[in-house]
Amino acid sequence: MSLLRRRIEFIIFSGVHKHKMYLGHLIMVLLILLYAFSHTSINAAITFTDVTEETQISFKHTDGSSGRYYIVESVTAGLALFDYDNDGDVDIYFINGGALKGTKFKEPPKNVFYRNEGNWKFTDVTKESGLGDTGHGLGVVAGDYDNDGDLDIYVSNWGPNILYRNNGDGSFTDVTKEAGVENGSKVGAGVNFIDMDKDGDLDLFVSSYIDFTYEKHVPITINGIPAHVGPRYYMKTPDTLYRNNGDGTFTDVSTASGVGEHPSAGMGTVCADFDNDGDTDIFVANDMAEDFLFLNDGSGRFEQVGLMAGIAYDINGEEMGSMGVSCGDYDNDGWLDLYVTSYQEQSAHLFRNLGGCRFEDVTLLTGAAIGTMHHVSWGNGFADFDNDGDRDIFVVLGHLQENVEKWDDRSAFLVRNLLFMNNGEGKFVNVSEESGDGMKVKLSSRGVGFDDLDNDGDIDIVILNSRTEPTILRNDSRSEGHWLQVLLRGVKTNLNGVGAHVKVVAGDLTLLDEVHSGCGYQGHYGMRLHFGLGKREKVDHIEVRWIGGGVDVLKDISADQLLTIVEGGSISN
Amino acid sequence: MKKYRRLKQCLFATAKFTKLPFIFCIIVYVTIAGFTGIESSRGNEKKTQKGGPTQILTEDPDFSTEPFKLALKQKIAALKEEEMKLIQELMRDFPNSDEALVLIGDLYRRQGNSIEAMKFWEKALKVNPRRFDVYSAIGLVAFEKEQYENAVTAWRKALEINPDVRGLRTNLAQAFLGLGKHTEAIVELEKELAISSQPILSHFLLGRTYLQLKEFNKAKKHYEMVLDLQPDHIKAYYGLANVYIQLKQPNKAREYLTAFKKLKPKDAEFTTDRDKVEIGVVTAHQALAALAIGTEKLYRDRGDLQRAEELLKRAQTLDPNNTICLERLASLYQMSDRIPEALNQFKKIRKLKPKDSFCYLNIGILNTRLKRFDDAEKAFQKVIELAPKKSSGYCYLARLYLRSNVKLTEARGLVEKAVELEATADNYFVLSWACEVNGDIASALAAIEKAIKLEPENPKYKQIYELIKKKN
Repeated sequence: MSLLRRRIEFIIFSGVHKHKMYLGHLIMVLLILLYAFSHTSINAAITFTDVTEETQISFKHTDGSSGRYYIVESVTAGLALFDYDNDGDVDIYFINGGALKGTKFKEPPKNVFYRNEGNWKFTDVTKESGLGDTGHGLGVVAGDYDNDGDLDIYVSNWGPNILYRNNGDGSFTDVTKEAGVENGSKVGAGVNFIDMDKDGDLDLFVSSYIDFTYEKHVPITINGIPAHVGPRYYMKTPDTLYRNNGDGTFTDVSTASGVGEHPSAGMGTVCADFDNDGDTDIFVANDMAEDFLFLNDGSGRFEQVGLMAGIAYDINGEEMGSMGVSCGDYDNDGWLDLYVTSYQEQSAHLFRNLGGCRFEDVTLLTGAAIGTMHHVSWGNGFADFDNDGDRDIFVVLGHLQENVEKWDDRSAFLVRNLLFMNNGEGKFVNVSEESGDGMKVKLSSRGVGFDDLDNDGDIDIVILNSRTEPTILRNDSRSEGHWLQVLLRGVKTNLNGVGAHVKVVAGDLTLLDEVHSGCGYQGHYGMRLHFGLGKREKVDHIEVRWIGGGVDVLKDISADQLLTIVEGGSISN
Repeated sequence: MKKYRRLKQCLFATAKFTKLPFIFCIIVYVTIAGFTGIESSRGNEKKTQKGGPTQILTEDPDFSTEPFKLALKQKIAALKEEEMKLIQELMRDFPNSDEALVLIGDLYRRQGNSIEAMKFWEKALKVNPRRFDVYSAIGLVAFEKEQYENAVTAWRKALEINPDVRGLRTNLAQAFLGLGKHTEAIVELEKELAISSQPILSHFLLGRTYLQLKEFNKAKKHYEMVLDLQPDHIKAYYGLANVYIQLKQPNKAREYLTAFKKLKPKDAEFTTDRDKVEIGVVTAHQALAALAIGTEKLYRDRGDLQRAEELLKRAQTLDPNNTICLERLASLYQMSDRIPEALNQFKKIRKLKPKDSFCYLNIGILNTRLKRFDDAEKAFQKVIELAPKKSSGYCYLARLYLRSNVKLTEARGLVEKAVELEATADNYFVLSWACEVNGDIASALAAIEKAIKLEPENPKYKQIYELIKKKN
């Protein structure tokens, strides 16, 4: 009996023991998984997912690729994110290269326009919109120049530029000639709508690159391999400023304004109130030349003060091969800072605005450009991707020499883009490696735009890649941060509030942003301002300073919504 | 009828007579018309193709000729083939040589192939782990790739092996700056200042670092030191301007910016110079020349002077402005007593570097050996003119006079000047000689005693001392 009992006890004990072992193993596995999961989520504060396929966007960029290596091939193109039909979501306009001499196409390539249908679906509406220009496109901007309530578009080309008036019915009309804004046959670059004289309508700033024609082409080789030449082989050209006459036409005031007195090799441009004096200034990133800061005297006369502002060159006094530029207040001190991308063997640069029209190159101090030195950097932007209350930086890269690895293996034609997370203490951390599969895309990128494409309260990204399809990145950051989005509607001032300052105060957090028309690399995005609030659940007050108008203050606003603020102080959401 | 027949005959004869010219005229007319037609259509095509992008998708004549492109490709291919042959030769003739491995690594580096360069450098370190220059090169590659931690590791290793290498601490400081470690960077820069004879870069980096740290007085001090050492240092002017911009002193800032703008070179003008449009070809030549020069040293050390000379001559063809190559050729010719050929190399260097006192010194020495007194004298005088604070010109000219038994008083004056500038054993030796021939035995003995004191192991000086004592 006792033996049986012992046997039974043994069997029971063994069974229990076995179960205990299995349970122990299971608990260990669960703990490991929990650790891995929590560890991953702690590190990956920002996550981007590549959803390009899901969107069914089939646009494929061409740079002309004539085999002649014309300089204009290397600098196409920007893109625009804007709500063309006022249906509450952001649409996408891709600019394309053209059929250059020496290329052959079945059909001439054209710009392509996609309407956002919601839920990451986009429809090609190029034909019905009439926006399929076949010129060699370079830059684009959106702005309601006729104040009729919908966004119009201006495209800069190599050749005549185009102004498209939005008809309000899904179509656009080319009104370039009647408006008088063709800008000759130059090599276009960044373009901006700006209310330079605070008269309530949008004027137009048009940067130009260099004086290039086929006859002036300089074929070069590097180590015997044909290559793209740089801007120094061509004469520089001045920029153009058009004043809006208020009747659908513009007047060229380049000389009168002072802007036309400075020929250079313009690329990315951004217009903003850098000295907080209530008018809009202009920054021009010039390729292999000093960058310009045109300071507005309030009446539309500009003085070029880049050198005295400490922003013309890098900290060593050297020209940058400047490409794109964006502005944003990265340190929340109430002044708009600048980020300028550059060519190989020059990093991108972060310039901190010190106030009083003074800037300081803080690239090395902040770590905001590590990884850009050996690549060519293009489009970029400040955005609070994790809604933690400070602006991060995203930069797209990609060489313009397709064979660069043959003579310099430090660089590459196809490169991954970079994401710098703002640590809130004046420094940036390169988190590209741990921010999702969207950061693993390896192409040669040019323009980039940042907007909330799915209206879920975080900023997504659209990237134009040279010679191939774009990349669409959905922001899947596991952030618990609150946010606020602000859309402005001017009444006495320009309808989109271009140039207006918006200050958001939430507890101990004060954020500043401005509505820009045109920024980054020759592109346009972000007319809907996005503020990350961190843990703050409500906004104490919002102050809107309208260009040429007054100041409106709104109080006690809940977080996590899109607010439309109408000049005069009323809101809708 | 007859008339008709005659008319017919007449017409026939006329036709026969005029047939050929008529046909000729038609041909000419058609040709002219056709040519004109082609010209007019081409002219239309040109009009549409000028200026902006064409709507017509057509091929157009290439801007560079095919034969030229082909010649360039062949040139590059030939250079590559020669490089490979030289590398194979090095690997074959010097299989265990760290120097050979370093040379190959350096070549790949110059070609922009840092991956291959690293492979050879690492092999070199396995053969000789004390190559601080290789660690230095590895550090530089890492730095350029923004791998700052790796750069710090490599450069620290180099300094462990050779703590006195100038410039390495400045490099290390720049890597620390890349990492945002300003304190560590400042420490290294201060160390570099203590050992460097040309601390311009260290002062500049200190100025820049203190500017970023907002220690404006220190920034100013270091930028100003740069300008003391090099008054046309354009970056220092920009740095000082930025200091004053941040100090809100616009007038002072403007002052420095004015100087900065004056010094700033004008933008490069448009050019079709070959070296501006065939980028890299000159570099490829120079890279191969550098490899050949480095390889020459290995063969020379082995005693294969013929191969050494072949390599240097090839290097000279590839890079005619390479003065190192010319110097090494000169030295090779001197080794085999081919003094006139050696002299020719220094004359070539003189054309390339007309203010190089070292070159004139060698010209003087070689002319002395060839007993060309006047040429030697002119050369040494030029050395004195170009480098008045160095003793070599004075000493060698004195020596020439003493050897030639002319201008003996002047010789003494010259070598006294040499000793004043640099109190070396050799200068004292020549002074002793000059004093003796001028009859001043006491001074001669005093001078040679000083030479002995400075170089006690040199038997020559003791012999001279004894000789002077014996004679007198």
